Amino acid sequence: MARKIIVDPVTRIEGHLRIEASLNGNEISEAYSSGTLFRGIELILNGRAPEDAGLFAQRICGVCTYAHYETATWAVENALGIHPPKNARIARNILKGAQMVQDHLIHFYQLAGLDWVDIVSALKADTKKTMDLAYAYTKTPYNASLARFEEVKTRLANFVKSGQLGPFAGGYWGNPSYKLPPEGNLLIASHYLDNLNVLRIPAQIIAILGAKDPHPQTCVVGGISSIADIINPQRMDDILFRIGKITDFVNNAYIPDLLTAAEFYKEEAVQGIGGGLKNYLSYGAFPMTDDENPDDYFLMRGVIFDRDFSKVHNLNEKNITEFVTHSWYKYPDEKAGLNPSAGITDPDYTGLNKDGSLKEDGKYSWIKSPRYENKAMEVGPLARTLVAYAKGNQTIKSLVDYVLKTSGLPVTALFSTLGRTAARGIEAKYVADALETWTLELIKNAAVDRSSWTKYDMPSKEIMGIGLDEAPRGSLGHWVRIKNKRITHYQIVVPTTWNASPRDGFNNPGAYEASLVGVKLANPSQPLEILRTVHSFDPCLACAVHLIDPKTNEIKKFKVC
Amino acid sequence: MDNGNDNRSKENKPGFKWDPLRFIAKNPDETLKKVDGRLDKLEKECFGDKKDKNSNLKNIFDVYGVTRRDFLKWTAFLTSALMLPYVFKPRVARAANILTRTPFIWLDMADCMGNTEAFIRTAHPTPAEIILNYVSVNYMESIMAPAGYQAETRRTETVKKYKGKYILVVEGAIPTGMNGKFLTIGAKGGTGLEIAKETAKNAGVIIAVGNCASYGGIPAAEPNPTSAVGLSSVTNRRVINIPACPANPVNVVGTLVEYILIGKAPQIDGLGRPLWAYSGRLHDNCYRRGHFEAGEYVRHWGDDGAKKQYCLYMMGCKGPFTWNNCTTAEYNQDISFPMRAGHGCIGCSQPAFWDRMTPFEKPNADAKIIIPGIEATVDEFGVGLLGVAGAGIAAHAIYTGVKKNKNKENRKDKEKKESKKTAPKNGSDDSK
Repeated sequence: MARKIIVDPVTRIEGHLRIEASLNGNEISEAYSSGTLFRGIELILNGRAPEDAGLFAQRICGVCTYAHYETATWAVENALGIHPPKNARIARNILKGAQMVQDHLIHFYQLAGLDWVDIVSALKADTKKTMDLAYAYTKTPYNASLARFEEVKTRLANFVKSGQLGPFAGGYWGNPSYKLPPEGNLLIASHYLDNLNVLRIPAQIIAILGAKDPHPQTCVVGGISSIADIINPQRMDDILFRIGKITDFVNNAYIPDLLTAAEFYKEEAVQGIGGGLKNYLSYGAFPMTDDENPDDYFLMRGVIFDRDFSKVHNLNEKNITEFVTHSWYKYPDEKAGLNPSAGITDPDYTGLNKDGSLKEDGKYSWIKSPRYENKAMEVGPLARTLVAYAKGNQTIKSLVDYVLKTSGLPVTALFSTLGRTAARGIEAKYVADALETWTLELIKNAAVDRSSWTKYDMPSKEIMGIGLDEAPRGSLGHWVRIKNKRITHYQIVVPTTWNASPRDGFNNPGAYEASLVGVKLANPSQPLEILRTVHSFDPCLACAVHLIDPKTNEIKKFKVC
Repeated sequence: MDNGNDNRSKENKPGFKWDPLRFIAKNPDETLKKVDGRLDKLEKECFGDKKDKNSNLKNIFDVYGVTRRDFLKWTAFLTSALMLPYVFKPRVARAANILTRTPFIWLDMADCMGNTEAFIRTAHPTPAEIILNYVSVNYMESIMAPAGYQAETRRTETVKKYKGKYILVVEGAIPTGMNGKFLTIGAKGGTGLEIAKETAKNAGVIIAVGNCASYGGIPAAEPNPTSAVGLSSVTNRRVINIPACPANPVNVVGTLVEYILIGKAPQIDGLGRPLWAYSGRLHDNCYRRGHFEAGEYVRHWGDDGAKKQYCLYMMGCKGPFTWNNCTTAEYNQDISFPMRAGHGCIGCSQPAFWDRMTPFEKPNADAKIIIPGIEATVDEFGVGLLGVAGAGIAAHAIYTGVKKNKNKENRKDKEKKESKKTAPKNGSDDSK
């Protein structure tokens, strides 16, 4: 009989996630993903001023905080039919770009890094060989010298000796699934430590234009509030200076480290471990024109079915539906899905089995199951990269080809846990490289055009808007209805709802569930491989479980359409 | 270690005036001796020998690239932020050293992880992040390497082994609806409510970080779908609240350092906030305050006033009703804070600000709150007295600013008509 393992809490993610997997021998035959926290932000938004939507919605998540802020503002602007002036559009792109790069950096090193890198093994590294490895994929490696590696090694040793491993304590060190040689571990561990300082830099860029990070306050409906900073050359120089530091780190640490990891984990990618779903979706983001035309987005919009690169389908948001067959909600017809603009959220918590495990045949998660044309989709950096690649985006294509060629992998290797991780790095470079261009464009424009806000009138009649955007971890959509200058309906479908969704009405598994099937555990009491694959999606559960629920014991119907 | 479990002491009753010289005012020599004795004792408990004691922080900081100079700067900063006399500087350093060996549990409840993020990447200053995040954390879901069973074990073991000694930090509100089942953690499906209660019971000191943990925050905003509450509502232990969204990490570290120094939780105001950080009102310390007095306001996003950094009162700034040190401590390594980026304060260190301070971008007379007197501290009004009428600031605004501006406006074009509509006519004007 298949054995079942439960991983709860899944750590080094944002929010509360549980994974249950059935093991056949040491291979996962089936997996279930469940969001275990519920807050209810959509209901809280009802009756509020539309101008406040962004400030409320951004509290859904403290990680991709700016993404929600911008998407909510877009939704309200879409309802009003206005576009922000050029200064505001570019400033928002810089804010979001900085956030995206930061998110990818924290993901690769702090959140997912420990699934690939064995900190304890780094103590055995030969520093001379580490130097060779550091120069393998770049001519100017970041903070690499014999003295530095020696120092990191000694310090890590002291750290371990003192018995104060802190967050490193109790990890799965020594698990045979760690494939890097000690030198590779030392190299990436050293950059793990460097990154603690680098991380702060994109956050500072957000703070310059947006007051603070997390939870900036600047992206007002119709524009941006920090015009005094935009027209201040000193503040803009502060940004440019910091962008230089970021690109240095991305080019000389992140990308080379990624290639190092690819070299040693190649086999996994070739086997397609963690590939999962075959459909990819991207809403696209970063408007490049003042009319915010989605066709010209910097991150491209499109849908790919069945890994067929020859045809990228156009996105039609009407085809997005949400199922609740296996989620703790009720629909009149549980087999059918509903479009978020007419979404119903009628909670129906059915609990867990007596032994505390999930009721896998019934309802088992606070997350709904969004589907596109009734198909489960993967969203995120891999989906975005694939869409851009298939659409022939030259910059993305050359970056992808470079990574594949250097590590000697076929294109199909992208459909794997490693491929997903690589796509994130490629995207980080793509966005980081653009930040400087955008900032220079902003400085140039602000010299002649000082507008930062589009005036609008909030009508009393009912209006409705959609904000489709890309958060660092995938496609993010906000649906809003406004009447009498108050919000009457708010629905959010976040990236992790797509990726972490439970099965739908047709019993199609969500992206996490599909990607875990076939993953082999070297040691079933140490769920390292599960973490590696789930982390490659960069889970963000606080986002996924923001939907509404009524007070204790009182099941309240909530239906707006 | 003293568990700081005394219930709210008399100095925190309404009407009490805070004394920045607090514990050294009466008998400085005696106090210093006491503090030193306490530090000696704790150092003995925490460190194996002298060498261990002296090399501990250096080892840690070396890993993260913090120099001795950075650390000295930081202790000086923290000593002054805590409003302690200069003689405390070396003692703050010693307390920081002890702090790294004090077991630490960080619980994530109904949260967005924003406070964690604030610590990981943006805290001011660097040593604070390291001390908090990377050294003594025994359980912190967001960054720890183990997951599942191994992670849970770390928590329960810490509780058992360091009973009455560990520091508990809670982030996020506690959902109490449906018997707490809106949040479950662990293979047995234990609720967040149970875990928070249980972990709080044996903690040495308890800190609620952020507005959600302090007062319920956004999950508790109307209609509070999950019946979420702040931590102090589910435990009878004393909780020190460090509200704001996200909380400024310096306020957390400062509070911990003071706790180590004097063995008691620091003096708090009626809302459970340490007075050293939360006794000042944003409006009083704002660099745009001069423009408020001069009646120079931003009237639309991106107008001329916005470019000249005029007062944001008319754009809904809640600085006059918010007690915190954002304007002096600032966010992201001294980079900025909301008013500096041209957006008003949203009052995120006050209870129920999601309901009382909204709409955020409308001036106060339009908002649902009523205004306290201009130079008051929150305790002079008592807890929750933000709801009591007072002519206060709006009246003040009329005489110093609005009126003057209105006269100007009459001469100006029609574009300003709209802002006139939103300008408060008098203190009790509460149009909605």
